[in-house]
Amino acid sequence: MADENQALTQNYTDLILKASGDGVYGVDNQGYTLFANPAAVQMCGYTLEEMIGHKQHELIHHTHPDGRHYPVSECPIYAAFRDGEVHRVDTEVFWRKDGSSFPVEYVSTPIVEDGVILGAVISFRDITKRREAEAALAQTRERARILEADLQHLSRLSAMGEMASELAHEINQPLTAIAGYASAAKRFLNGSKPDANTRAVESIEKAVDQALRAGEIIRRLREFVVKGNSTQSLEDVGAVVGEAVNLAALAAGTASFEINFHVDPAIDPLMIDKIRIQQVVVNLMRNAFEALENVEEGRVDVFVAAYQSGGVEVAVSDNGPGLANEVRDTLFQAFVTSKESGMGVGLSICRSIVEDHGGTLIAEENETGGMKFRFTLLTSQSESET
Amino acid sequence: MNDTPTVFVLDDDDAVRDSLGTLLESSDLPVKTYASADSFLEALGSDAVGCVVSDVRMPGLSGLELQERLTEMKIPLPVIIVTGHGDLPMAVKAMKAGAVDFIEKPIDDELILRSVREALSRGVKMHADAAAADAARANIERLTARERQVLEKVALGHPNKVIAYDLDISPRTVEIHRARVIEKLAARNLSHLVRMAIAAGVIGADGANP
Repeated sequence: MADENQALTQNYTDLILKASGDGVYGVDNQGYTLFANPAAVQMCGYTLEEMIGHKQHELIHHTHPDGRHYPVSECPIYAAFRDGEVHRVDTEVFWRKDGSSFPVEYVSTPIVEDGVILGAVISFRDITKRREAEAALAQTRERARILEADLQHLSRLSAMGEMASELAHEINQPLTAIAGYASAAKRFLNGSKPDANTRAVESIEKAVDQALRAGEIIRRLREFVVKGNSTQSLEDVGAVVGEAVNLAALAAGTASFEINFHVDPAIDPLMIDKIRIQQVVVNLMRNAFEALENVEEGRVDVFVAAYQSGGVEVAVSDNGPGLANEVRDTLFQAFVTSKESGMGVGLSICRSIVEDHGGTLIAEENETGGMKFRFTLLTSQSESET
Repeated sequence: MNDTPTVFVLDDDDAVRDSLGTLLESSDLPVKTYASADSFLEALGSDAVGCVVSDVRMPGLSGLELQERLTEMKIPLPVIIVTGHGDLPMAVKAMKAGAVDFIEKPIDDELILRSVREALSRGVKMHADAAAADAARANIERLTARERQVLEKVALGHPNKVIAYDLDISPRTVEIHRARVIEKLAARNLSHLVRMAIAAGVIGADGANP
């Protein structure tokens, strides 16, 4: 009866091993193969005879994924029958007879009988599909992240548009009041009322208050654009600018400019507001594209280089026609624009963003006669109070 | 409120309202200011004379709604609408609803003073017309039914003989009624009588039955 049971159990074990989709094999405490199920044989491309009695590590586990030799002494599978622990690994590959490999997840469990470790049973599966899915997922996530960044950028820009129109309305109120008070003052002074002077002075004082109110509205707008929801994090400036360059290049659409991106690999990460710095770069690049509208073989160069100790300098340079001196003088003033459409807030906001990062934004002529805008970003230590 | 023609300035922005008020005062125009159309209507007496200068965009009643309300209540006040940035479509609506003018912010002083002066004289006339109509209506109330019938037909230009025939009375009796009507309404002449009949709504402005 007991023998019968044992035979039955043995039979079941065989059935399970044969039916399993996972590869299963056993090794003795010297690493020689005792048995292997059909899945294991099939996955490794050897015959059963080629596996039984051979050291499994030398057959299928001899080399790391990157091609380095894999010494037996470091093998987690063999470690099971040395330290008596279960070892689970999913970062390695098994090698087929034909020299190809596949990513694998395996569990090596020691076989212990009466306190003596006799060997180990290894169960493994080919995780090529899982790795592919993971890679696809990571790619999708990356794409989603880029899209989200684009979206954030767009919504920030459109929020600025809404702000601009709201601002136009809001600023009209103090302007109306200023015009009213000033006209009243003039009429009081030209008239013959006994209290004309007092009333004129009163009106002028009120006009001044309203001018200050208008200034306050503008200051609030700048604050919103430059500092609102500011989030600084430690970023690789080269990568951040690179993303912005790609974004701007996308926005350039069909226009055929040559865009060159030069990045110094040896720059330290900086605490920056990534989105805002990207806004600055996109803004400068769009200005460059506009300058190149009627230029043959237009070319934009973007440089990211180390600056002083730990800082970074970013430059956007074009081979367009450059800017007249009088335009260059008012370049950074809000609501001044040389463009037919536009609010004239772009460069003024860019400068504020850069200054908020402790840097400066400068416009100069480059050797081609085109414009070069360059800005610096400094290490956060120099202004750590923010 | 009294019968001095007054400019009623409505704007929810304190500074805009105050500056407009000051500007009008500096040109010797009597001004009253209100922060909303609602508070203006609340304070409004039945004999207000003058004109309204109202911002189009205000909390509560808008300038446009105020214009509609004044027309509805038959209050004889011309309205000048002041618009901010981009409120132009609203200003056009207000003009269609009967506003006499619209002015854009920031406001040109010459422009608004000219517009206000015109509106004021129009307001004075509108007020006088309304008062005359009220008086005429009150007097017509005092007529007997027969006298009223005679007035109606006289105002429509019917000769005494026709009126006598229509009402089945003698021409002499018509003449007596007619004399009583002219006396009660203190009409200076026939055309004055007709105007009063029109103002009081006895006959339509086109000389037909209302």
